[in-house]
Amino acid sequence: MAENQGNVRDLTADEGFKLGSFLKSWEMVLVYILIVVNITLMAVRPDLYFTSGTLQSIIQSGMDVSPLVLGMVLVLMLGDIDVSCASVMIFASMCTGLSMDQGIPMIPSVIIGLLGGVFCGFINGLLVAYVGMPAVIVTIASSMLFRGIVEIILNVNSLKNFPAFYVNISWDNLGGVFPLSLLIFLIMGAFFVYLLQKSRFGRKLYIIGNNATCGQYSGIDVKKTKLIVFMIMGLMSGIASIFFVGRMGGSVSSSMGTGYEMNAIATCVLGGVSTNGGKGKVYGPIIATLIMAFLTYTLGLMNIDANIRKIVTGIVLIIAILISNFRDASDARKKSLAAASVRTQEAK
Amino acid sequence: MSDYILELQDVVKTFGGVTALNGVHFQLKKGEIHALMGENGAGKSTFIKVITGVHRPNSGRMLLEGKEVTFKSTDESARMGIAAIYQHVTAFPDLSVTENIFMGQEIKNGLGIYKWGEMQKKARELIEPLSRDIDVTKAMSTLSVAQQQLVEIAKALSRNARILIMDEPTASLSKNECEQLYQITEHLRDEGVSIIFITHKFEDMYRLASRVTVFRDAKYIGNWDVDKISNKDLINAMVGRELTAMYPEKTAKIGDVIMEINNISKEGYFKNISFEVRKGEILALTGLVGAGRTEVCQSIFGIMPPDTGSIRFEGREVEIKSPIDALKLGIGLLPEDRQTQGLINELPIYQNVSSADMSKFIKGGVIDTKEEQRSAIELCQKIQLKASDISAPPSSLSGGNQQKVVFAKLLNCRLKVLILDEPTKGIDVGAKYSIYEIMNELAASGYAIIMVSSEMPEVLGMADRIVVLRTGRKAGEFDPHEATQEQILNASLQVKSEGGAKE
Repeated sequence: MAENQGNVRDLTADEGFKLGSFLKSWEMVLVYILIVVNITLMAVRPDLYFTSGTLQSIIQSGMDVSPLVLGMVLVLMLGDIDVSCASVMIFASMCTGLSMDQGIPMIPSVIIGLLGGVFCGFINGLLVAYVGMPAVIVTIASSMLFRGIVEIILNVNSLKNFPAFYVNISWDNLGGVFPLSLLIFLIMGAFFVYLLQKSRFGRKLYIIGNNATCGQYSGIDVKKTKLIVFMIMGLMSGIASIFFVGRMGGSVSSSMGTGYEMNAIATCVLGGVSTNGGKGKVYGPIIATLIMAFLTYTLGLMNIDANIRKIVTGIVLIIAILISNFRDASDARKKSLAAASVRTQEAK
Repeated sequence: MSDYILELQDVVKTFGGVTALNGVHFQLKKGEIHALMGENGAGKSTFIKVITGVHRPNSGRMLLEGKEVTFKSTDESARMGIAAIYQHVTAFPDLSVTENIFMGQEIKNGLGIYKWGEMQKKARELIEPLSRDIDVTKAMSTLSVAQQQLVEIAKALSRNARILIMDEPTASLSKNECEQLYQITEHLRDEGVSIIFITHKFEDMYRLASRVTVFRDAKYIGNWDVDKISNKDLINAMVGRELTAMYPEKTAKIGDVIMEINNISKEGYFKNISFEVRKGEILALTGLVGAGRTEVCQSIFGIMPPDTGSIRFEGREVEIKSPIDALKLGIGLLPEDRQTQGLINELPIYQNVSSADMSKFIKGGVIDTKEEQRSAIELCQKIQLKASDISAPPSSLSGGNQQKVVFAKLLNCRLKVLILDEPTKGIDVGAKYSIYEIMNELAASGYAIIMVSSEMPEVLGMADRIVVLRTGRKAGEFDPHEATQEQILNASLQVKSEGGAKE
């Protein structure tokens, strides 16, 4: 294998658009799933499906978790996880609600809520990145901590004094047709596509998620990057509090929103983001958010009991992840075969 | 019947295209301590693994007390009375000494319940003759390295080991601990255990062994009675390679000093290391594995900044607290382990190349992928990377080409000093030459290069100056045109006596 001899082959950057592989990409599979769910709904309840307002209601029902999904994509990309985001969301709601109760004007109150979320994320990030504790442990603990604080402060009372636009965001349709919440979600989603897939910051996340040691050797401040990601997650939990409180008709109590963190994680995984880090894109989870909304709503319309709905959702998730794993395994096999053929060519 | 308890004849072991053992012979007499010596990479570790059944040889015979045996697993060799104690103890650190000793051979009662009391009693009986300070109920991780080795010995004895292989057991022990280990080893020999003692230290060999076998380049060189071979002959046997035209012609002109390392120390790793490196120069940092070479490099690069001492870069005193600082100054590191430290196998080649400095590809806050790929192609062609598609992952390449990707990654940054930690490790001979060519070209274009290497011919063939480290200290500085392999090996080994007689 005398590599000093012979000509160097022409190097190419083989990343052009190929329709075949695009149609087979996981994001497209998710689109197909979304279509199938829609067709099912159409077939089962044609009367409802074509009634004006139904599609809007379905979409709106899935939007309150959407900011958490976007934040979670970044956290999972690092190979970390944040199970405290639902508690942070309620914590942020409380910050805004209490500020309004104190007579602080609307905009500052909203900002106080968002900062409350960022602060919680900062605590999580500090413990994970700089103290070096496992993210799952840190966020289980902080989840109890943040919700505990809310429970002590609110006790059994609920906060009812929230900005009016919260409800508008969650329930209004632009021109009576396009859900406002979906528009905001898509705008945020576009920003996250930029952040993860186009910016230098996003590239750093892929590097850290795949090989943090190599990242360190490549001059990346791994700890700082992790801290920033957890703070973004905190901010997104703060934004989720706006959607959530609006969805609840402008009130919040300490026991609300449990299980939202699991929905967010499940949606990301369905969207093709690996919990091991370093793999996935933002498009997938965006489509997956819609799938989850349609799935839950369709099952509800089919008069299926709430507990059965959970079981069905769980099974659908497991199947989706199985398919995705199976595809990865066959991809890896193809890659290693290709690599082996490259090596034999080199040897010649 | 054979005189030998263990005999290996013509053993060959290959991994893929790499020959790790090439027709190796070895004879172990009953009740002797037999030293096995050789440079790093001579094949000693593979040899142990063949004996203990970790690897199966491609060809050759292994005779145990005259009868041919083949081991399919370490369990089989253990049952036949062969035990190995590795340099880095492979125990379960969070389990107790007793649990470690009886791992896999627990004493149970009729119901299959473990009899801890009895196991502890037996463990004490085994440990007592070796050391009085070891509490068998303590976790393994609370013991010193020396004590952990004793536990491993006790474990071997509990399985009635007749052949004990010790792989550089004294490498991380203090003088007193070494002496203790010597006494225990001798005691075991007197009990009838046959011992293979792998070591780098001549001291160990003279103190303990009656015979010595030398391996070099995966081949058997010879075996001698320890009191009949001189130090010089032994070193010759270990290094005796011919330097052929394996190294490209030097064209670089050596310029001004660019970096001075003054008395840097890092607790537990190295002490008072000083050297300087000039533009266009290739400075070799050599010594045995564990002498602190990699640690010195990592300190300079900011992975683990030194405790004391100073670094001057281009005439200014600088502080390097992290790789970020180092890269900003223009110091790059090609890490020793390219799989975990140098490459991201899940990302395409071009993203690997750009990973250490993406700033020049950012346009309006967005990574300009076209420009990134164009630049990567240019760099990869410069270093003659053999690949067809830079969107493929580096794992699709051979070892030599993977290393070139890491080189391209360094060249993508604006660097002045390159630290190359074992740049040709795990790369086959043909590909090595092209790595050497790259190094020479880089030196000629003004880079200062610090090369860490264990391979003596490479050091002599490539370096303009050689710094030898030994157990974390600078043991000498040599001019490769004047120095011989023997002198350098002498400096890296702890050679005490000159004549070769026992101390």
